[in-house]
Amino acid sequence: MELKVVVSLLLQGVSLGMLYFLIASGLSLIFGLMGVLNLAHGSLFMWGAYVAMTVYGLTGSFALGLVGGLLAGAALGVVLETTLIRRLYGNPVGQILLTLGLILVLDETVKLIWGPTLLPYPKPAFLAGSAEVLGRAFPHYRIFLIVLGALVWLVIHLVLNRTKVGLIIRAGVEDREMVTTLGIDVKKVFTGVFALGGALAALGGAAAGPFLLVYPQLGLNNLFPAIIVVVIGGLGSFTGSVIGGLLVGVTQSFVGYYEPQLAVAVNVALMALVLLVRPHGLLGHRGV
Amino acid sequence: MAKVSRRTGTERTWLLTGGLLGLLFAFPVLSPSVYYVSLLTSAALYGVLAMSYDLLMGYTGILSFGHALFFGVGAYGAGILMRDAGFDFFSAMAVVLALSAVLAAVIGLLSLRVKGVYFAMVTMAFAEFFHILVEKLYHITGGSDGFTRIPTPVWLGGTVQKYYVALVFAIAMYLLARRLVSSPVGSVWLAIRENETRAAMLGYDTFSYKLAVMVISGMMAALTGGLYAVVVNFAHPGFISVSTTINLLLMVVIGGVGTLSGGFIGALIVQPLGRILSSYFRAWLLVFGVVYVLIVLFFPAGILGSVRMWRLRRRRPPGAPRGPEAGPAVPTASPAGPGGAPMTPAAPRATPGAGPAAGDGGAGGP
Amino acid sequence: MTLGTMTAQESTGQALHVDHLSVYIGELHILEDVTLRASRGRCTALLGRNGSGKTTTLKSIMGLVPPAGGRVTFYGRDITGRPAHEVARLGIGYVPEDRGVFTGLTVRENLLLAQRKRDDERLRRVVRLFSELDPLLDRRAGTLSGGERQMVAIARALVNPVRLLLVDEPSKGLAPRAVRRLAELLAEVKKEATVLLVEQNFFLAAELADHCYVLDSGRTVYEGPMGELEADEETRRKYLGVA
Ligand SMILES: Nc1ncnc2c1ncn2[C@@H]1O[C@H](COP(=O)(O)OP(=O)(O)O)[C@@H](O)[C@H]1O
Ligand SMILES: [Mg+2]
Repeated sequence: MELKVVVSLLLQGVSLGMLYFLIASGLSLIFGLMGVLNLAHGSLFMWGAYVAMTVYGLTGSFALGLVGGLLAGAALGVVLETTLIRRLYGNPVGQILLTLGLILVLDETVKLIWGPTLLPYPKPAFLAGSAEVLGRAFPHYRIFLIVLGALVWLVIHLVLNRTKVGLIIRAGVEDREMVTTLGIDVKKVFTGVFALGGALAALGGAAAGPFLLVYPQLGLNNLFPAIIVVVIGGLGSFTGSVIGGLLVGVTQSFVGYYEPQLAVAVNVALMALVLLVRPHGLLGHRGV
Repeated sequence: MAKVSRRTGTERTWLLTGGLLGLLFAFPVLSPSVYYVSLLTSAALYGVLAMSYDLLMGYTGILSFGHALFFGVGAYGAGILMRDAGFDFFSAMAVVLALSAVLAAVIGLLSLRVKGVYFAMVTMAFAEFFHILVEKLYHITGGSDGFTRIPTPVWLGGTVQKYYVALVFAIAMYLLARRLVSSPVGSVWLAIRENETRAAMLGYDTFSYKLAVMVISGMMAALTGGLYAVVVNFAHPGFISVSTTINLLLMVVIGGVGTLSGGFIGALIVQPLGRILSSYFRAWLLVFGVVYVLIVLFFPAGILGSVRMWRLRRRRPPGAPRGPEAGPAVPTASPAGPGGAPMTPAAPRATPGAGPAAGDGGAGGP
Repeated sequence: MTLGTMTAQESTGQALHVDHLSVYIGELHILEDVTLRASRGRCTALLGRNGSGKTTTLKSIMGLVPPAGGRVTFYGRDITGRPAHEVARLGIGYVPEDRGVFTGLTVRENLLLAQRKRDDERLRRVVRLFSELDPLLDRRAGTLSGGERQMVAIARALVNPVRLLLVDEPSKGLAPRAVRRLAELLAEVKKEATVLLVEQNFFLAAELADHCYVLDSGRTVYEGPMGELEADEETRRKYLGVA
């Protein structure tokens, strides 16, 4: 295989991986701290895409669209946590059933507001072209996804590792009860984490919208990849979800080059493999 | 066993059951159009599917996201065998049963090593893998267009015949499931649901019991899938998709987790009622979602479970002590580690001797 | 150096008063009727066999297990059933039975997490007292020995001003040498803080405590000065299984 092709596939894989990471990061964060498998994550992702598209359409500013999507996700996260999810902490099955219902509610609301059809969410002009890498065209938008993914990872990484809030979150992942005995009101922190998780999900949707198109099944279609990435990386490990995303993206890119038919099966196969060898994911370390 | 004495005082229930059965058998005559007969046919089959899911979720506390896989295996298995391999209906079903048993055992052996959310994820991965497989192997399965022209046996020729076969099948499967959950094996399943660590400490090989329930419910789902495919002459990759499993979850939760018959109520609501209402009322699914969320939050025992608890409370004299009975399975699988709620292997009765489904209420512990 | 803080009016009397406390978990009575007092500036031991309810008593004081009846008063203030983070902010430090050290965090992070109001001077003093932690500050707590983890857990409870320290079986699972060092440290700590100590190791308790209570099946069955229990072989045999 030519080096040019390898580099190009690698780049394509990394951009796909970053997209996967953006899709999965909020899910990973929420599961990591709160042990809540938020099945409505895909729907928050979709809400981000729709709100961003709408704000972009109204203001003409792509950046404002991203911010609008992000804020919508954060607000939804706060509302859902404080009114519903809070009632079911310590009841993982109840949470799964609840967030499952929220998929219906959120997705149907999208249909009522924006209609059941595919809507245009164009790329902004400055991201519509492509660059040349080793003589092959590489779309600007993919570069944007790589940069945004890296940025999100860096910011969350710094927050988790350099701030007191991050310290509380990491400690809360290990032992919630012990954190409260240190005088910390974990409830507030939980609401904050849910807001952050919702914001990340929605930002992912806002950024991925022009790439994946905007339609009412967008949420469900991306829930599964998000779960796969988080499971591969290790439930509860944020860095794991970066690694999981990149692994899936790059593998898919290479497999797709040789056997396009198999590309879709790659993430499922990877997940099955990881779960069989390391049932708690690459970086997961918690007991069964 | 003291079954008979348990039934006294529930004569009304039996009358109700009899009346309901009479109504169901007379339905093709009463129905204004065959359309409703076919709707009820598919509701009966989805009811069996939901009930098989309830064996896993409601009776053993196993949350699988891959149950639709077995439905799909049954549908495609029966379809391929009957259309392309020249099998007749019954031999195709026999093969489907054997196949699904082996498949469920293999998947169970691999996935039961992990629990809770992880188990849900692994089973989801398996189902999704088959989903993709079926879409990709289009020269065998017809791909995403679906598998069409499945031959119908003569005795299953018309809409009304299909309805009666589905009805009898549903009743038979219900009685079988009822028999199972009130057997000694069933009480171990309940013990696992209440507190697996405790059940293991009492000396039960919980892994084998969980494997058994996976195989049994998998076979039941596959059989239902086979019959469904023959009834509608059609199989589709969507049968195996996660949204089918999600639908099953909705049915079981709405009807009542751990009640068996709740699955049928849920299927009735999600399938025909949903289909009829959504054609008149655009926001129906949104309303449905809100109602479902409210059920999860405030009536976690579902329709049937809540009715039973209400009747139980009414029957009990005020001020009587609250015993540690399990009641209908409220899906609160508390993260009970060692030392959760008090429990003895025979104590957690899912059906406190009331309601139409509780006829067989009283098997002793193993 | 001072690890505890006390106002003038607190310098006498009771720090903690647990009054007829009862706790149910499900249908089980875990605590029936527990009454105890921890006097300010003293070390009070809470003894009893495995499963007698000692941990539950501490958790209930801490607000981790809701009481079904009775009262918990802290310097005259009713804290019964208050959430744990509020209880902690009143100045109760808690060292749980399994030490509760965050294994994924470094020792320094464990201490910083606990400190509610940044006070580097106090942090330094604590590390000086627990001198073997000094070279370990940037190690992940998961890599420490049991004795070292126990020190982290106690040090962590002291990085805030504590008016009462609850310590649950600190010597559990430690090597004899580590138990010795622990005894030294706790002796230092109790000079300056009010301590309620749960301990299975009777001799360690006898060494540290001034006053003691014995629990059996969720009830307080004995109360008296530590020295008296040391002399009372029959009670010890009956409730503690030590002669
Ligand atoms: N979560 C729980 N569920 C059921 N029983 C419990 C629970 N926690 C403690 N117990 C029971 O309460 C009793 C007292 O426990 P504990 O307070 O831990 O005792 P100790 O600390 O004195 O060993 C024990 O019999 C224990 O089995
Ligand atoms: Mg204890």
